[in-house]
Amino acid sequence: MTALASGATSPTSQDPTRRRPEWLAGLWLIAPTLAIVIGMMLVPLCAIVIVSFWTQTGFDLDTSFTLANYGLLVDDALKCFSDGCGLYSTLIIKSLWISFVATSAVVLLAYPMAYFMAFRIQRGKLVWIILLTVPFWTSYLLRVFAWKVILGFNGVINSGLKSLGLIEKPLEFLLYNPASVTITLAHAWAAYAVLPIYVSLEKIDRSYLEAATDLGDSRWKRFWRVTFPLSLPGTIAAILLVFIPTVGDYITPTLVGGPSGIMIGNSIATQFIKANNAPLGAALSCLMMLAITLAVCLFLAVIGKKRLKGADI
Amino acid sequence: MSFLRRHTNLLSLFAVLYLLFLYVPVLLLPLFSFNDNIYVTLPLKGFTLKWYESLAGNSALLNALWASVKVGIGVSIISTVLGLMAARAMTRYRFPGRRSIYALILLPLVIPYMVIGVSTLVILRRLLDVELSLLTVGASHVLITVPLSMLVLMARMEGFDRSLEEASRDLGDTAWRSFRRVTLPLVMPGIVSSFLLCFITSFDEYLLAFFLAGSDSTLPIFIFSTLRFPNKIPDVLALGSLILMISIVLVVLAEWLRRRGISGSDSSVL
Amino acid sequence: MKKQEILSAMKAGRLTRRDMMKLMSATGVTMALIPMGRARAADEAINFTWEGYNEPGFHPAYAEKHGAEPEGPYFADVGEALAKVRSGFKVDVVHPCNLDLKNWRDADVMQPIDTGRLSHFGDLFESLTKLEFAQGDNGEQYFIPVDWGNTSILYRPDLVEVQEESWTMLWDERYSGQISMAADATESAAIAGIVLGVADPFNMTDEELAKAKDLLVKQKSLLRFYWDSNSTVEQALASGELVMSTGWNSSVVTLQGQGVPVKFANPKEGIMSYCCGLVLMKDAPHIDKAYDLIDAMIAPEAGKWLIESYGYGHSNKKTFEIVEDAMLNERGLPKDPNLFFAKGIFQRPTADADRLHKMFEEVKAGA
Repeated sequence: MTALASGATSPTSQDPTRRRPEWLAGLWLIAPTLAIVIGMMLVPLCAIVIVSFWTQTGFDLDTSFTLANYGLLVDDALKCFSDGCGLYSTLIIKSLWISFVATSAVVLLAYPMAYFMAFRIQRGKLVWIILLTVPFWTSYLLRVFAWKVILGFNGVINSGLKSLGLIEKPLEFLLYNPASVTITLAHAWAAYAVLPIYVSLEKIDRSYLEAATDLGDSRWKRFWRVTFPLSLPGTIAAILLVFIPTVGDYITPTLVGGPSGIMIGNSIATQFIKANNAPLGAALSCLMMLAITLAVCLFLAVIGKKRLKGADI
Repeated sequence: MSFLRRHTNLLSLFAVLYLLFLYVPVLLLPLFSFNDNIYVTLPLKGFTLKWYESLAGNSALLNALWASVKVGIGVSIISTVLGLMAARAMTRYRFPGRRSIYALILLPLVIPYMVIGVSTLVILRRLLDVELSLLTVGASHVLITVPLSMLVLMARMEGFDRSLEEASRDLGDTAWRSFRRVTLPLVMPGIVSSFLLCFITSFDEYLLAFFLAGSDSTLPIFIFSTLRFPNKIPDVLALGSLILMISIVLVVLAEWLRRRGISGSDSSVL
Repeated sequence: MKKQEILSAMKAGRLTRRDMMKLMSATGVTMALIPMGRARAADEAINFTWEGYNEPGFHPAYAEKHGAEPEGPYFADVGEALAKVRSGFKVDVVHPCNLDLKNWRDADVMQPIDTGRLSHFGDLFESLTKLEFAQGDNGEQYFIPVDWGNTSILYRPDLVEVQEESWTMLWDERYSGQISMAADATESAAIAGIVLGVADPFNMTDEELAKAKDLLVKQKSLLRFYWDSNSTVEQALASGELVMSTGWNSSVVTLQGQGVPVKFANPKEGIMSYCCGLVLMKDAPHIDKAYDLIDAMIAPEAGKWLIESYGYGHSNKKTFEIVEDAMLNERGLPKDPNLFFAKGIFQRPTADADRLHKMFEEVKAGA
């Protein structure tokens, strides 16, 4: 606000952004957000990196520098090449994979919905935006209970199929496996995917689309040549918003994942809370953050190359 | 459902199915909130209003709800303003370190909440001697929702036509005025989306809230703590159903008012 | 916009989008400016506990004396509660269980309790006040037991055929996919240890632990899930999704109250018991009121309420004199808990918990 306000009240400058160098105006505008994020995040971030080089016995932290935690994780990963991955590598790979599958499902389902809202709804779009978030004004736990009622042993699907005479015994494969984790996640993150895609689709200038049609493009071709590239910022936002948090999620796998429902987030929580091994928990967190960052950079690099327009990031 | 008549095609069908997918699970909740059974299981046993009665007397739960609403609204406003400024800087200006700053602002999404929660708590209590309250919960929620807000608003503002703003400037508007008159209305869907996403994130966040709350609990803390005794879950269920039903009624009412008030001149994006 | 204007505009149906926005942002700003944190007139003892453990019935004498209820910030997990207290969250008393006590002792957050200030302390069962880690090295008291219960197998007698109640029931292949265990490393390892017949299931040798791990891996294929909350397991037993699971005696009360046929096994190897209670924090801001709260929670009338409404046992001998036999029977509680404790297996903190957690995670991850 400060940047805008000072520009507005300064009597000498009608146009501060032209008089002030552009880079300064940009920095000035982003400074408050950056200051808040850095102020609040820097200490946790440094703490986690530093602690990951310590060791702990009981509640006593040994603050001498050591690579022991990382050594343990490297050994754990090296086992992948001999007799099957160790615990932590298994969990990281599994978490990335489940998150990848869930993100794909969420975004693929969300895109047509966002497209529908952007191009088929003429009036009352605000109502649609709100309508999309209303289901999430209840607790996640309650929504999981509801999914259990639908997918569960004597649940809606099983009772329905039974009363139709299609099955005799309840189907048990509906719940407590990676598929139910994916369904639950696809539901939980729906709004986070639909809304960013919608806002970027909605701003597309209709004249581009008309121009493409005038040039003789088919609908499908027009979509890939014009609409999709222009909606990429929103699609990327959706992918990041769903992928990053789900890698570290540990509540969903516990609730609907069955006996094997454990992900790296569970293990990190265990180290901090139950096993009293904060340094190992910190090292695991660093490893997870690194894995996510690499996955995201890889993704952005691939997308960046494919993007038609030069908008960076 | 007049749009169905206008566009009876696959896309509309998909949209209806998608809404069903979103709503069917949560619409089961009101059903169970009237069921005479503390467990959320089929078959239904009988109609009762007792959970709503006990909800009315459950002041701890209602206080927690109020705490969450306050935090959620405050956080959504602050994060959306911060996100708007950041998104405008990112999409409108070129400046050194732009990519690094972008990455830095997204970083809170990557750090486990457990780590943010515990280390923020240590700093607040051991170093700064700040008392825990809903404000500290709100601050941590701002940290995790700012990246979200920035991403959503960047998606809206990227590729934004600068000539519109320049035209407004040429007409003699100040920077603030042209932002308010030209940019803001165009960005409005992004602002609403950001606000709502920040709200549902904060409203349902447990771990940071647990570590940073003082003696006032938020709704997720209350609910997670309740799991130890299933007797209280129907109260939570009744509350969830009430929120859901009231918000649906409000949305329908707003839509009805809008249709009544529509004059045909309102061609805006919302 | 004034209220009148808004109302008339709404009536006339001409509330424009811009007005709507103004209205919404005004409401938002007003709400955001409402002071967070309620002002508290009373300065009461802070009881950091589970939701439901700070009900007035738990400590009637406290309100009688102070005319107010203690404050109750909640936790959902004792480990998280310890992390929060260690990081500087100031409370008076916390409600951990005896399995957690080693951690609480090691974390050095508690202060010894002057038992002379507790009028009911002399009436408590000695077997509970002298539990491992309840006392310091010099006999000073750190833990005041309040509620105790059993861990055993909850099963549906209508769906399970049982010849003899035993912990081995949890490995019965006939009920594959209908069994559950608590997602708790110490307890799971101990149950496997009991089945293996080791000397001390709470302190196994590495060799024994390896065998226990194999047994748990074998069991995993029979499990529907590991339960993380009491609600999950009760819900699944009620729907018939599970036919048996480890659980607590309080679940019997709740499930039977809902008309679900359920039995609480008394395994031939011995039923497991645990005890939860209060610890006093080092930097407790309201010491005197904290003592009043502790004393109120171990009073017999509080115990009577606890047994009747929650189905847990109480730490005060006199409680068992004022509760009717029929009620004790219904709750599955013994008339003489001392005899009962002697027969069963009391859960104990394990010295080296880390290897248990690693082992249990490996079982779950299948690595």
